Amino acid sequence: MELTVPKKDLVRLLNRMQGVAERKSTMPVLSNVLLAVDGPGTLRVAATDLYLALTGRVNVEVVKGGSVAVSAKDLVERVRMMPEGPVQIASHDNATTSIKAAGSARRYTLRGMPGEDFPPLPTPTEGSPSLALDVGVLQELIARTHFSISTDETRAHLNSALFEWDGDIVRMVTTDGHRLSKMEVKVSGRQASATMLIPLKAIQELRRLCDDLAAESKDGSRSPIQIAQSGSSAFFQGGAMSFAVRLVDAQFPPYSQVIPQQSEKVVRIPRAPFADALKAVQVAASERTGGVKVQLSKGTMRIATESPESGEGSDEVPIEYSGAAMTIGFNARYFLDVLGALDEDEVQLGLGGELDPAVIRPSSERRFLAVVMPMRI
Amino acid sequence: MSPAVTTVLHVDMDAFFASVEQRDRPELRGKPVIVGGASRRGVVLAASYEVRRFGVRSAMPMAEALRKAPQAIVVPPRRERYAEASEQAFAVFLRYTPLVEPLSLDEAFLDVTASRSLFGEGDAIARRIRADIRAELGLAASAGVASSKFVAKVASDLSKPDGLLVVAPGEEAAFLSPLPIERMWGVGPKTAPRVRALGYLTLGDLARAPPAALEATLGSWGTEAARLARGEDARDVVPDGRARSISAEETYEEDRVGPAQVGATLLEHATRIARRLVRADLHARTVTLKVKYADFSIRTRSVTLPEAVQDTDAIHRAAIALLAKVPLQDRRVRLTGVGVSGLAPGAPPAGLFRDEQAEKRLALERVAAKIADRFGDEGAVTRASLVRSPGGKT
Repeated sequence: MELTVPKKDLVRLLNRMQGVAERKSTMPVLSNVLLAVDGPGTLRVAATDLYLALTGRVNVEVVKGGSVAVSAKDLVERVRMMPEGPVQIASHDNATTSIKAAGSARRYTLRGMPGEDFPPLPTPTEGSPSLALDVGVLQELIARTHFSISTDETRAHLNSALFEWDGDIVRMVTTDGHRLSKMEVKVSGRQASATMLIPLKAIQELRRLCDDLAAESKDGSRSPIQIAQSGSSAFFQGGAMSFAVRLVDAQFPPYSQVIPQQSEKVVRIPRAPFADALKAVQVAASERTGGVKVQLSKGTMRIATESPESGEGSDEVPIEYSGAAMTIGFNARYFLDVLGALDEDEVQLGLGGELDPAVIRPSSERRFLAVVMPMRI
Repeated sequence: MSPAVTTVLHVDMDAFFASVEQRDRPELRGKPVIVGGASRRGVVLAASYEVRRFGVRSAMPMAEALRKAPQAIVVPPRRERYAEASEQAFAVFLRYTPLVEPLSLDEAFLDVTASRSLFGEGDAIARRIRADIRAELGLAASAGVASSKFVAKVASDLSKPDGLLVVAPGEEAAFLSPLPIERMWGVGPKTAPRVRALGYLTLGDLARAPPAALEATLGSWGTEAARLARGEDARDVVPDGRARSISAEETYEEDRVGPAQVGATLLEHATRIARRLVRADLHARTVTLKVKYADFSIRTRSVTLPEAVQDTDAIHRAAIALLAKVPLQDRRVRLTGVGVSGLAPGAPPAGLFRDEQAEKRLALERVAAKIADRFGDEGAVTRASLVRSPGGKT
């Protein structure tokens, strides 16, 4: 294999691959990236951790076809050191790979392995159902729900996002068992049915893919993301990038049962001042629990905390509320995550008893809601 | 068993640093060993019992020690080694009670009042702790058992070396009375002559002295000392909050090999820990797995969970996940252990989804803890899957 590629294109692609290539895997091949000439003028770059496989394509000048796999970390470190402009990459029979640039004496060689020894990457079987979704819609679904995915890898059903396509509604729901976020978007004129549990790592990759695509096509002519489900995997493709992910084979919790249908008490709160006050009081909250006390009275919400180790802190926010006074404890971070994902001016907080789940949503729209479990305080 | 009476243990490793050296280097056994800086200006950090016969004591200047015992073998300290042994000793203490107050690397108070229903009376617990330390560390520890910290400490000092002394409730004053005044807390070589000059030669003399006279001559320390000398000491055992953890481990008669066999050991550890968490009304954030191989090398792996846990399954799940991070292929494992730390009081916060299975398990664990409380047998209720053969899957 021998080719020339613009340094900045290759570095950008390799940076993405590094997130997938496992440095400490027990299988050394998984710390590698695959470089494979894929037709005239195209280099395919791929990395996998056996759950997630990421593939990108870049335009290159091909001198000689072929493929090689080399350490992702070693390659990106060396390519970064090359001068700006075209970089020549060549692999030889024994998989030794050289990196150099015209007009520069700087050069590296790396020991690699033959491209054929790289694990085969999954592909969707012919005729698998496929859906096209606007990048902006997927971006919004993820942005408003990703924060409540559980980071506990031992609980696969919570360490993932539920993605559902239900008629002309696409929906993403996530929960860590203590809070839940749900976002629904209507895609007019397109009917489909799909349910998948996408692991957290793939959601993060999908988010990057959407961000890249959105950034590339500011002129508005962006291509949609293609989603295909085949066997136990899902395939996402947009622009020059595609990835495959093994879906989580588990039961997502019965989320609709825990969303309160109506709330006894409804509070309207200006979003930015609410977030601001929570952040201020959180500084004084116990690091362990992040718990704050929310005291409601007519027209005023008082947020307060006290703990033996961090002293006391409090702030007030003007609210629209005319119900009975009440006090309820919450993890401040749960609210801050929600408020940070919204841009509406006002949110609506629905409350029941002191130990009943609370619902928070923008006052002006019905597509999003979050449920937060209170804590004893 | 009278539950109203507090039972405190004072456990102290004998000639700790010197004993570790003698254990690790057989050629030093039975020899007069001093641990300390090699320079003659250094001080004695520890002295083996063989060298104490010559009057060598810890904190003595090295030059003086070598004058008293010129034949002594001086070895430089290896602090990591002592810290490691200390950690093992504290792990043993924590098996019997979460209420462990460390005084130094080799010395601690243990409040075992609530543990008596599980492990027997204070003397039985002290015997088990001494036996565990002997078996697992290859070191000797002395212990005192009494109804208060001060009496337990005096008892363990008197029991040395390698001894156990129990002072029964009600006997405290009689036990302390004949002891020389030097046994009192705060009485060192400098203050002793002064106290003796006042006519107080024994702890009994202090105990019987009129408070006004004590106050006049020795100040508030005098009245405090008199209270202690009467065996009155209400100070609680205060566990070190930062270092608190609960762990369970076991050395197997036959080495375990492979993920299935090794993994099968973890459920029992998780069950024991969950029971102790429920009993103590605590929840934990961090789970640690420990694996000791046949060559005695140890691997530990920890995970801090996003949410606090209290039940067997959550701890077990975390331990199993950690098992994937230690090498097991073709390696013989002689010991496995699971520990939890990051402890806080109360039950973990309520979740959105009612997990009926978990609720049932927790209820079961509460009942099991109560049964164990009543019948004093930790193994009285065992989860069914533990009964399977060691090679079975969990």
